[in-house]
This record gives sequence, C-alpha cells and structure tokens, in this order.
Amino acid sequence: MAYISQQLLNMLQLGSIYAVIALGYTMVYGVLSLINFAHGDIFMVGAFLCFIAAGKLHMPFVPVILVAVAGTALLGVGVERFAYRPLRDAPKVSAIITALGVGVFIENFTLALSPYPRHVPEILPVVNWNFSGLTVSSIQVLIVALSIGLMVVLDFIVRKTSYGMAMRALSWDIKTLPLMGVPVNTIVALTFAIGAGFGGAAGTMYAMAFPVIDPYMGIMIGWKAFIAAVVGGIGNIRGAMLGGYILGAVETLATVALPSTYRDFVAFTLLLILLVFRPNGILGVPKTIKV
Amino acid sequence: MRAALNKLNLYWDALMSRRYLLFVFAGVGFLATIVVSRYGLIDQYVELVAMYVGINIILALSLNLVNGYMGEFSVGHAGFMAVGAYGASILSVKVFPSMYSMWCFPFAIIAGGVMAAAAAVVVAVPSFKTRGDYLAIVTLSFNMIVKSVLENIDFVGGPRGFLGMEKLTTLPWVFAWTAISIWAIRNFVYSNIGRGVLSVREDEMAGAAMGVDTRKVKLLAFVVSSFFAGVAGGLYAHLLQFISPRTFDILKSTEILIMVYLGGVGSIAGSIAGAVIYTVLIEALRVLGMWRMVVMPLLLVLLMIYRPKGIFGYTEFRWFKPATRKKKVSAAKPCFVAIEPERTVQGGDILVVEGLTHYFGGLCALSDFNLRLSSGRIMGIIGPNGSGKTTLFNLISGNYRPTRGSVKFDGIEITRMPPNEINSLGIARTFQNIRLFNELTVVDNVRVGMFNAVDYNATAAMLRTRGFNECEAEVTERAYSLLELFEIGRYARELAKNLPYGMRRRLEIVRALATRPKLLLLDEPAAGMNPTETGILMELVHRLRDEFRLTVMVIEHHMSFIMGLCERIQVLDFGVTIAAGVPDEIKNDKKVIEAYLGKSGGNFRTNTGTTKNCRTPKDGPTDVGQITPEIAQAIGRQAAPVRLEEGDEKYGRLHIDTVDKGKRLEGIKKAGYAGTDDFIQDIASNYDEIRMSEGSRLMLIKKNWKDKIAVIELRPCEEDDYYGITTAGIFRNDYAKNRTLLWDRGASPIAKPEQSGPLPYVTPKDAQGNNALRTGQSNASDNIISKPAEPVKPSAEAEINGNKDVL
Repeated sequence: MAYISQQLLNMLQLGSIYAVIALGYTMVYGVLSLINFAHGDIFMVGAFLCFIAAGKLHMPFVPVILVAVAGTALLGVGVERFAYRPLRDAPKVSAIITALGVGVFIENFTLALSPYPRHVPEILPVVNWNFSGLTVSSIQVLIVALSIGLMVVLDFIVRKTSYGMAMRALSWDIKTLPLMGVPVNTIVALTFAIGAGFGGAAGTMYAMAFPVIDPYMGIMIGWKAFIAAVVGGIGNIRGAMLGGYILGAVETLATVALPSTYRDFVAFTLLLILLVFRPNGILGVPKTIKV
Repeated sequence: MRAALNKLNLYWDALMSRRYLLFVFAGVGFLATIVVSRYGLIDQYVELVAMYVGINIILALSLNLVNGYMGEFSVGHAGFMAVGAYGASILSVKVFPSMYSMWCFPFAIIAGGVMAAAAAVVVAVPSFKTRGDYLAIVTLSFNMIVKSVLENIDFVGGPRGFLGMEKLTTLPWVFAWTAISIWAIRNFVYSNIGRGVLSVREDEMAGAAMGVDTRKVKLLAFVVSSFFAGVAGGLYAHLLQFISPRTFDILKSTEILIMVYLGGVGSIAGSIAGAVIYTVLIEALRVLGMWRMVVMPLLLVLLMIYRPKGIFGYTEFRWFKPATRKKKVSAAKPCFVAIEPERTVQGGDILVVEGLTHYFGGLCALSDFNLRLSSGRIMGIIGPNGSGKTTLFNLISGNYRPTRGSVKFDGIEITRMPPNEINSLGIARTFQNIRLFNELTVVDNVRVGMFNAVDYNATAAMLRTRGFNECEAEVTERAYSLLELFEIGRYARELAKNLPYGMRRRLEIVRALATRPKLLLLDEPAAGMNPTETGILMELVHRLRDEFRLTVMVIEHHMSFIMGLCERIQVLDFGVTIAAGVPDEIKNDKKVIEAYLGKSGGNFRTNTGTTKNCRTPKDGPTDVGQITPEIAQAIGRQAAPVRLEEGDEKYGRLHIDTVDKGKRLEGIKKAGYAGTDDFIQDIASNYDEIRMSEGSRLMLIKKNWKDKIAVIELRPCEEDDYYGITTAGIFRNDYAKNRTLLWDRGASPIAKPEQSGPLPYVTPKDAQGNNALRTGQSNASDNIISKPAEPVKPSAEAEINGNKDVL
C-alpha cells in the first residue's frame, strides 16, 4: 500500500514537471502553429539559472525561482523577436528548422560555457514526513503545489483576461487581429514570455528534485514534454496538463514493472498507439479542410 | 568584355547541354577513387572527410525525398539509419562468413536498406492518415523507440554499442553508393510516381482528384527514402567499425535535417550542396573547438532568416533534370492502358444520384438530392452561396463522404470510394478556387492528370528501362498535344503559378481532361471572366462535350452563361432542390427569383450565426444603389454581426465585445471571408485600426473566389452611418450622394490595380462617371488618406461633390 502511494507521489511529481514544460509547447503552438523545438533548451537554461542563483550567488528560494522565470522569459522573447518573427510569413518549415537551430545553439552555447554536469545545491531544507511508511518530502509537495498553482494562473489568464482573449483570437486568425486593434506582436511576445517562463519554472523544479544538471538535459525532457502536449492535444492548454500527468504516470509505471531502460520505449510506443486511435490527442479537435 | 562573357555563357550552355558528361564524370570519379584509395594518394583525414561527405549526401537526399519532394516533415531519419546500420552489421559480423566479408559487403548493405524500408512500412501505415505535424511526431517517436529497443538488446551490445565490423567502407564504395543514390532518387522524382509525390506536396486533395493514389505514392516515396537511409547507415557502421544506440539519437536526425534545409528542399543539387557544405564546414570549424557547435546553428538560423528556402530551394541543377526525349516510334503505344475508353451510348443515365444528404455537424449542407443525368448532356447547378452546390460536387468526386444516399456512375456504385478511384472510373473535376500544382510546370500539371494512364512501376522508373522511356515519351507527347489543343502550349514549361488567371482556369480544365473522364464537373469555371471570355468558355465547353464525348456538370453564377450553355438546370437553396428544368422554366420560377433576391426583393439576407435563415429585411442599405442579382448572390448569407465596445464618438475603435470574445471572432471566421483574407491583411497592414461607430455591425461579404470583390460593410443598427470597404477603397454609406471615399486603394503604395473590381454598391451610372474608382488611378491628395496608419478623419474637404470625376 505504502509502495503504491509512494509511486503515485512519484507520478505526480514527474507529471507536474512534464505538464509545466508541455504548457510552453502548447501555448506557442496554439498561437502560432509553430513547434518551438527550442523549448526544451529553455527549460535547461532555467535549471542553469537556478544553479547560478542558488549555487553561485547563494540566493534564497523565492529570488532563485524569480531569476529563473524572468531569465527564461526574457530568453523566450528574445528568441521570438530575433529568430521567429522574421519568419512569420515564411514557409512553416523554415520556422521549424530555425527552432531546431536555436535549440542546438542554446545547448552548445551552454556547453561551451559549462562543459561539465553541475550539481545544484539544496535551495530549501528538505523535510521528510512519514505517514505509516509513506515518505513525503517537502520538495515533492512544493513541486506539485507550485505546478498546480501555475496551471491555475495560466488557465485564468487564457480564459478570463483580455490578453488571454487576444491569444485565443490570435490562434484563430493572425491576419484579422490587427484589424480589431489588437497589437499582435505584443501578444506573441507575451505568449513566448509566459511559455518560456513556465519552462524556467519547470527547470527550477527539476533542479530541486534531480540536482545534477547538464546542457543536454533539455533535449530528452523537452521532446518528452512535447509528446505530452501531443497526447493531450497540442494547442490545448488543459490537454497539455493532462498529457503531462499521463506521461508521468506511464513512465513511473514502466519503471516499476520493467527494467528502467524500457521507460522511453514504453512511453513512445504508447504515444504511437494513442495517435493511431486519436490522431488529434485526447482533448484535441480535428481541423477540417475546406475544399 | 561583354563579348567574352557571352562567349563564356555559350560555352557553359554547350557544356550543360551535354548531360552524358555527368556519366563520364561519375565513371572517371569512380576510377579515381579506386586509384586514390589503393595507393594512398591523399591524406587519410581528407579521405575520411570525403567518405563522410558521401554518406551525408545519401542521407540528405533520402530525407529530401520525404521532406522536400513530398512536403511531409520527417524528423526521425536517424531511426532508419540505425535500422540499416545494425541490420548490415549483424549480417556481416554474425551471419556472413568473415573470410568472404569483402564479397558479402554489398549484400549486407542492401539488406540493411531493405530492413530500413520494412521499418518504414510499419511507420507509414499509421502515420499517413492525416497530414501536418503528424508524421513529425510519429517519426520522432520511431527514432526514440529504435534507440530504446537497441539499448535493450544484449545481442548487439545494448547501450555499450556494437563492434566487430571490418573496415569495409572504402572511398570507391562510398562513391559508388552515392552515385547510385543520386541516380535512383533523381529517376524516381522525374517519373510518373515522382509527379504523384510532387502533387501530394502541392495539393494532396487536387492530386487525389486527378487520380493519384496518394497513399500509394506516399508510401513508396517513404520506403525508397528509408532504404537509402538504411544504406547510409550500413556504410557508416562499416566506416566507424563501432555503432551504439547513441550514435543514432535525435541529434543525428537534426543534423540530417539541417543539411537538407541548408541546401534547399526539393532539389537534388541542394541536398548535395547542403551535405558537402555542412560536413566540410563542421570539419573546417574544428579550430573553434567547442564553439563550432555554437557557430553552426547560428549560421543555420541566419540562413533561414535571409534565405528561407535554403541555397537551392526548388531549383535544380540542369544536369540532374532528365532530357525531354522526342518520341521515336509514333505507331506503337505499348504502355498506355486503354487509350480510348469505351463511351456509354448517348442517352443512357451516366450519373444517378439518390437521396444524397450531407451534414456538417448540425448544418445540413445538402438534403435529399436526386439527379439523373443522361450521357452527353450539359447540366447546370445554380443557387445562392452556401446552398450546397460545391458540397454536391465534393460528394460526387469523393472528397466528402455523404451522410446518406447513393451515387451511381455508369452503373457502378461509387458512394464511398476514395477520390482517386472515382477519378479513374471517369469523373474529373475542377475547383472553385483553382487548385493547380503551383510549383510544377504547366506540362507537369497535365502529366499528373495522366497518372493512371501510365503503366510502369517504381523499379522500372528508377532503372530507366526501355519501357519506361517509351511510356514517358508518349505521356509527354500527349500532354503537349492537349496543351496545344487548348492553346496554352506556349506556356508548357512555365510554372503553373506564373500563369495569368484565365490560363489557370483553362489549365485546370486541361488537367481534368488529361485523366480522360466521361463526366466533367466544372465548379464556377467562368468566375472572374469578362463577357468575352465567358463567351469563349461557353464555346469551349460545347466543344469539349462534342469532341471528347463528355457529359458536363457546371456550377456557375453567371446567369447568361448558365442559361446559354445548359440543357437542364437544377437550383439549390439551403441544400434543398427548389427547382429543376430547362433554362426557360428556371428563369421564370418564382421560388428561384425569391432565393436570389430575397422575399422583399432587394434586401440582404443575413445569417446571424445563431439562427439559420435569419433575414433582416428592415435595415438593408437599399439606399446605396440598386441591388442587382449579382450583388445579392455575392452577399449570400456570409454575414456576421460584431458588437462594438463603447467607443469614441463616430469612429469608435473597433473592439470585440467583452462578452463571448472568443466566440465572436470565431463567428467572423466561420462566416467565411476565405476569399478576402488577402485583402483584409492588406488593410490590416496599412491601418492600425478601423474606426466604426458604436453599435455598428461588421459584415463581411465575399464573392466566391479570391481577389475580386471583397466587401466589408460596417453597417448601422441604430445610426445612419456605415462604411463600406471594397477592393477600391473604404467609403461611407452616403457614397451614392456624396462620394466620400475615405481611403483609395489605388492611391496606396501597395495597390494592385488589376485587382480592383467594380464596386457593387455603385449603380452602373455611378461607375461610369467615376472611372478613377474603377481603375484605381486617382489623386491621393484630394480626399484620400494616403498615409497608412493615419486615423480616418472625414472632414468637410474630404467630402466632394458627386459629379466631380476625381476621387
């Protein structure tokens, strides 16, 4: 029983991190129909900012996460401004390739600056609570609570505020929106800022849970979070959350039932099977093509 | 100097026309590589880099086939490479006897390629259901799965990697395989199947409608591509003599992608250039140490920004294009299947439609449609916009599957057949919004139409057999003669997108004829034509029917065209047949007149989005001029209301109302100004805002196809003011009286005069006295906002007298 609860907790923790990263993918995709392949690396930058703030500058927790979020948000906006915006009217593929290029650039830039894996120090003192065999660490609670808080805030922003309205409108028709008096570039920048900021927050959480970080860590985790976004229905915010938790659950289960090397195999096979039956993801809506 | 240049140019042309030199170079190159590697004439490092270049060329070419020629987006090519590498290595290490490894090597490589191709079939079957980013996700997962599986197989070393291969990959081998890949992929692309693949990239739906079995060609291209990726993998494994699952991770896939897009998609020369530049640059930048991997992606991003199509991008080096051969024997037509299909006897029912019904969600687009069409007849389908005409065509041609009902063609039930099968039975169509294969030449557009007339397979195409050559010559000759017949032969080598509008319409008909149909469906063929052109078209359709012994169905809005052409007409309104008969009956049918003009004769009919058939008889702007049937039909029911936020006085800034924001926009979107997108963008990019009075409604009116008339009317609910936007400009509702043109499109720097159509709100008389408006030439300083982004401020000076011919 305790074992099962423990695993459930692990699922929740991993799923939260995936969900928060997946949100970044899905927001950008939802608004610009662009798969932002650099997002996994923005997540990595978030973890490294956390390392710098906590390990080098010895900041306490709140400033650390603020630095990570603000830094990545800035990075996201910069990437949009200088790499994606010039290509907004170009073929979609060019933008995707640019995204790949930006990703590789960020990875290797970080690698050139910091060629070795880094160890992130403990930012908050870890407290373990014991409930009849079930160990709950304060970090796990923090991660889950923080992620859920972030998701609620995002859901609110997108559904209830005028900026969120503009984002949703943007996904419908980027050509008409300026006609309605909406400053499109600001909205796109805001979307990237929020998406990348979420990546930064996820990076911090990840660094707290798994303290060894390296410049290439964003690749695999980023792709997986992308898969999570697809499973939920890419472009759909609640879908991304759902996908994140599903992926967290599947991976945890796979590690429990099989040798850990089968984890990726199970996760991706599941994705393929799911896509055969639901090509648009769980919450996605199929696009109809007009003749 | 110039003479010398000209001379040089001549030499260059002469050299380029000698395509066989390519084979000479290939042969000499191959011998050279043998000599070089046998006697160690070049530095080992240079030789190694050269081999990397060769392998990368194969990889880039194979990926280009999928991403460039087919227009899909595969991101996991390293997965297929891995299958080939491990497959070939297992064979050469564990299966083939090591003493004969030299002789077994090519077989190992081929087997690796075959294994990769088999894997491709497994991947392709689920992933070709839909387009878009789907294949990207599936191939990505495939790459990850392959890596994960390999890590878990101890037999091949698991995560530690696999070694024991001899260094069998040598420069001559790499050269030979590279040459074979270039040749085979080039042959594949320049064949019937290749044209099918290209048609998928350009417009999959149009391809299917022209009889291309899109699933088959996509699968074939994918399999061929994976085969060569596998070959490259095998060569790579026997060069490195060590492979591990990590070798083939997503970074490797990214590398191949970069090579393809660097060189340019859809071009063999591009792939070669991309692979060479990338490989050499990576080596040359070694001096930068760790920073070279920072510089490389930066260069890529810059290249994408300044040259999004890559270095070559859809253009091809002349030597890689096959020569157009003249046909030698004209009598024998060995490969054409069924050259003249037997026509049904005149008089029999060629098309029988019974109870055909189609729903889009809750909207009934076509309801209980019945039709018996005799062979050899010309029939017209008319009705206001949104009445279900095009839906009917889509159902007959297989683009939509009906909710209920059946379609029989020539006695065969075709109700749920895929479009390409329906086409090969003998139904061809054109599209309302012209769907040509824009990046293909005119003659290739026609040759795609002959997809099913060709009788050779992919292997024959790749090997360029004799049968293939004869067949291609035949197809080409027929394509040219068809083009000549319709007098567009002189455009044959032009890209379809460069044709003038009328020619594009005509080419679409020729392309449809190339499929040798018995029944031709023409969807608004006369749209955008002037009376003379319409007359010519009418003659053409008659000629088609007589010379090609066709049965023709036409959707059209030009009443004179329909009445003059058709022997029978059926009228649709809201998906329901409201009349059928000979032209004279239709002309005088009360219901038909009502459907076109509305009940009170001259009012707009609007659909408010929530209620169907909602009519607003009261506030129709009848004062602006006569509403002719053309206008009435142009308006159709594509209108949607938008409430405005409490705004500034007269020209309140247009906001979307605070309740239901998302839905409002959606409402506009659905109202469908599909054809006016460009125009709206045009305005949007020149104005920060469009100002409207509070409580105004935005009504979008479109005509059925792009770039002709786009009217956005800002219409009052309570007040008297509203503003109309047309391709000519933005004007006020009192236009007829005062001619207040707020913005003249003709005067703006982005204007394209040929696009400005007649103003639908102007009576013919008005239009006559106002040439400037029609031609778009006017004096900007008078009353027009000539500077973009300046708010519209109508002043006393801005309103000029109606008789003045300035504007």
